[in-house]
Amino acid sequence: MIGQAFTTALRSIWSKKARSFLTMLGVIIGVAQIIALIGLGQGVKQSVAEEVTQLGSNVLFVLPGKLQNSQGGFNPAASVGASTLTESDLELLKSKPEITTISSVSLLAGTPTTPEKAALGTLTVAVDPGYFEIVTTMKLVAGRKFTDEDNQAQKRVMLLGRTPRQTLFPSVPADQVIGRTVSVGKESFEVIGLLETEQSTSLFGGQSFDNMVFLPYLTGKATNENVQIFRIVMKIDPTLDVKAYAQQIGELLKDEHSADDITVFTQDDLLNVINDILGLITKAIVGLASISLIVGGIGIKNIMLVAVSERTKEIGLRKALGATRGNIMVQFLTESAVISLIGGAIGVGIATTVGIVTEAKANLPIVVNLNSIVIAVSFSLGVGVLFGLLPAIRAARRDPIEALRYE
Amino acid sequence: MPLIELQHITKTFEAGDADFKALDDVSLSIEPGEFVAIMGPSGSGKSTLMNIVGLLDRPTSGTYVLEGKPVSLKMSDREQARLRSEFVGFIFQNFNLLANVDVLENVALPALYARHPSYDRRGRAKALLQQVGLSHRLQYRPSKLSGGEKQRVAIARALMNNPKVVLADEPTGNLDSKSGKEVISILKNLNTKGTTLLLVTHSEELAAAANRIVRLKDGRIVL
Repeated sequence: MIGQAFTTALRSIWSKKARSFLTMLGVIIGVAQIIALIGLGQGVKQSVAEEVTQLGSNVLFVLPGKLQNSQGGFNPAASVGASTLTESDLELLKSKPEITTISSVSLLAGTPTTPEKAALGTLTVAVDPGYFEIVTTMKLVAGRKFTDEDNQAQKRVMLLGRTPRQTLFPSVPADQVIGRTVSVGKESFEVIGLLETEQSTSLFGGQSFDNMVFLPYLTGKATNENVQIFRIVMKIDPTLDVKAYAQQIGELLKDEHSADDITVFTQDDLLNVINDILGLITKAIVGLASISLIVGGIGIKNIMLVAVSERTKEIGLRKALGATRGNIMVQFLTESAVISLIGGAIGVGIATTVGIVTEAKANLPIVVNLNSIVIAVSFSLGVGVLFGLLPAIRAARRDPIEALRYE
Repeated sequence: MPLIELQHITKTFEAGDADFKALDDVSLSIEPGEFVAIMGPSGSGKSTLMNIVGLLDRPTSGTYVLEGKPVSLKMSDREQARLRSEFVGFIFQNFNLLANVDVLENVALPALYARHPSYDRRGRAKALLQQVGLSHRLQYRPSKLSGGEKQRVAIARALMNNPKVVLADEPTGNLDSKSGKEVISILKNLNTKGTTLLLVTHSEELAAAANRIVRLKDGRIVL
């Protein structure tokens, strides 16, 4: 019975090809969107995870605020406001022999400018020379990095990220940017190196590493009145238990502050937080994309209502030949489900193609996996059945005598 | 035992304030193998009678006895559909073939709704089409057939589930006289092979092929 209904459905869909395709369009777009967005979320998750993993498992981050709530969830609001990290925290940690490399990260006020241009939106960040040994995703493309001497002597030197370099020195060859002068506020700095990242996402979300300029920490402190440390990053002895050590320095800093106002993250913690955030964003976007699936469903319902009234005579005939209400209902439900399923399949195809193209052209990974295909297929099947229900019930209830007389 | 026995059948339709009696105390008995023509002017209740016999409609009162068993007025849609598929074959004035399937599928269609479709659907449909002289048209769409051929397909379809009675409503109404005669002779031939036929028609010529003529007027049988 179902097999026959399936053949009948395909036959009537095929006999009205253009109309059937237009009906499917809503589902096609909806499913393609959902799969592409889930895939994009997965892709970003993977590339961020790769980036974090690249740092090595023995990297620790100290962040201001109590970011983990009592349930172990993430509370981003805690990082808003003045930083709770101090210079004495940094000094305390520097004295620990287990920490092999350490750097503070401070945000400075002011926009990098040249006499002609301004790099609006670029962050000015002060770091210790050890920073680039910890965060290894940035590669030097010209010049050199800071040395301890630059830092101690508070030399007015600067490293440029990709974005400010393109803004301030468009069409200037890389080696000629070295030695140029960039101002932040009243101070002027000599560009000694150019940095680029391989991936465009940044560890903490938001600003990309590419859209930053870096000053030595002590230089930043000397040229800015109010320097706040908003991260401390460090590498510890790789033979240590990272989680236990993170807890240990967390306790140490809390004792110093006599308040529970900092968070120590390991690589795993960081991955969890990123997964939480990306998962949430993906869910929200997919929720929005589902609206087009609903619109597609309404389209299916309309066309099925039209089909039921066009085929009133056929319904009457089938009933006269012995079809029950159930038979008629199954026939029309199968038709709407098949329309929706074909739409879903085309949508999966489009999303997969888009994934392959963006991966190749834009280095934007879209991961289409079996999971998202199963979700999409069951969604479109659900939409077809749900929105086909009313037309199918209407068809099943037609009185055979009137239906046979219908012109 | 009569194949079909109608006892005091009344069918009333609501029409505004006054109810309209389409059938008024009709009693009729049809033996197996009979060929009965029902005649009468428009509005005399022919079609209503046919719909009741064909289990498409239910009488307001009276008893319908099929092969000695009374048909319940309260049976479910499913039971009614099953009885219809086992007992009755329909032939319509305007053929009612499905346009987007071929002749063979059209003939085989009733088997979809039969309770025991274990027999060879397509084989039986082919054999029936051969009986009505259409073996060379199996893969044709109905739109490619002449009126007479369409009605012959419809006759084959009516026989698909091996019904106890074949109901034909003006089967020659849309045909030219030559194809009309062909259809009459096929029906007559079926009857001589034992099929019970109930025919509704205006045509005296067609009615003359029947063994018995029942005339209806204003919902009553007139003798």
